[in-house]
Amino acid sequence: MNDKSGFKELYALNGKPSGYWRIIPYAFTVLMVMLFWFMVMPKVIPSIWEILAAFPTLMAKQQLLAHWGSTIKLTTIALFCSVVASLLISFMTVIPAMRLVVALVTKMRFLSLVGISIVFVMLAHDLSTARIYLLMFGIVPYMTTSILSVIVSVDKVRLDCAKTLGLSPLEQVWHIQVREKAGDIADVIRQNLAMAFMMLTFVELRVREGGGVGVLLDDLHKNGHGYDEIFALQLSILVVGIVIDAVSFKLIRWIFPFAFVKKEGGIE
Amino acid sequence: MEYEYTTGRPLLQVSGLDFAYGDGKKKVLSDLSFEINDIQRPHKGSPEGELIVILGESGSGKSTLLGLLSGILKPQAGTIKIIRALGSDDLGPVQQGMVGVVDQASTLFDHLTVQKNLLFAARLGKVPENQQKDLVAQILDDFGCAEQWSKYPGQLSGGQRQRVAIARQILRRPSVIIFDEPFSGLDYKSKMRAVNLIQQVSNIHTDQVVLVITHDIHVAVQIADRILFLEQRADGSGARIAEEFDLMQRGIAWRPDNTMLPEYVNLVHEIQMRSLGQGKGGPKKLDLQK
Repeated sequence: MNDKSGFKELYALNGKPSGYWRIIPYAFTVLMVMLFWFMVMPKVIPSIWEILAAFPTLMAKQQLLAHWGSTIKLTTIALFCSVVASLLISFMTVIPAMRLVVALVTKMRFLSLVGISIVFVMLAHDLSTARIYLLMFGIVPYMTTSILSVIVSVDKVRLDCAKTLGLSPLEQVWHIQVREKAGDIADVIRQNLAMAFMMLTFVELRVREGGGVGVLLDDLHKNGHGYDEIFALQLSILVVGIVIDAVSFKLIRWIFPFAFVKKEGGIE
Repeated sequence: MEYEYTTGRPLLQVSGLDFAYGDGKKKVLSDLSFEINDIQRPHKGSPEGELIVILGESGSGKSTLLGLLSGILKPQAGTIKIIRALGSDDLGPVQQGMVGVVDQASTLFDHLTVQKNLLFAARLGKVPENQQKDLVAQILDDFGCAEQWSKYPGQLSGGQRQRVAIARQILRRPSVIIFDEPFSGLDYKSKMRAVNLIQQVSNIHTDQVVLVITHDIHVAVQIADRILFLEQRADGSGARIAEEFDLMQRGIAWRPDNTMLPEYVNLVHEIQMRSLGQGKGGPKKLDLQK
């Protein structure tokens, strides 16, 4: 591709720039963000050097790693429970009698977590369990909605094919809606992780017991610490989130390669 | 040259089939009947299941008939009976799993590799476990897909998928195999390869019925022992088998290079005229007022 056509391809609708032309938009975007950061908002957002310099203070005085430990523990338990619960609820949709229950769970998305946390505090044995319940309450309706959209998108032809093979109804669901769709389901769970991450700080604030980055963020804000520390903490949240997203993406591709061969035009 | 043919025991019996979707007011099929028997082909010593083509235009009820024959749909009236297994004389009502279907999309399990798809079919076909791998390797070789064994269906071309889907049905050994529009979207070379494969399949088991559902008149006349012409009744009361064309009797079936025969050309023309409504009952008139 020559330079002229490569440049054209960058702005063509659904164009496919090749080689170094693919890198140019990324480099340009990063440059624009940096320019905006340093030239337009220098008074509002601390510089990258100030943010990086705040990390040692955060670690030494604010126990950043301990807070992260608490957050990771809460996220892992709550996400595991949410994924299990969402999968069970979503797959109940294959039973007509249970569809109303599934629909009700998905409609819980419209409820706010504010004002409802006291219910979970009363239901749980302790405050750390209450946090898990609250986070699950926030995540499950969204995750169920996403998983459900994958399950019901199954082509009727595929189910008919399983029937003509003489598979039992349970085997039909297992092969067509569970195993064939496992990669897509894992991918929508990954996409929901970002939302779960966003809820995490909110839940930690509602139930402060046990700390976590949400509590630390609030303390820094209330105690009048500099914005450099707050932005340093936000940056750490962003980086951890991106790393988890990238790792889970690679993991899903490795475990469910068949889910990606079609999307990427695997015909040779 | 005159070919002798005989029809023998019934392998598939369809009688008085009625089917309507939804509230049942608009019938898709009505009083549809036909029978498929074992026949004596000129080049074979033993009787074989017929290779039947069900020919019909779009909207003639072909897909509904496929659903009924494969046991996915239940008729409101009438019965479908097929031999319970290859080598059996016993006719029984059709149930899901008794009829093998190679659908238009050549559907395979996307989460299994080609080899695992076929091993799965071998298990369904009750092939002894210690023979499964060898048999699958053999069939992959026969179908020219040996190099694709470790690939997922999403990595195969349309022709390769079709061959693997056919191989799957051979391993399952159902007494009836239905091919749903196997030639649609194929170029001439691939179409002829599919024709060849279907003819090979119909030669494997002596009492296995091979049924091809298509709208392609040329290929239908090229491969069939008998063509059943499916057509909606003029009064809208559902489709029926409007006419049968016996290609054995006409000396077209199973003759080498039969597409060069005048009988072939004549029959293609006859069916084309029939399909345009210019056969029995005269030409259809366009009603532009409608």
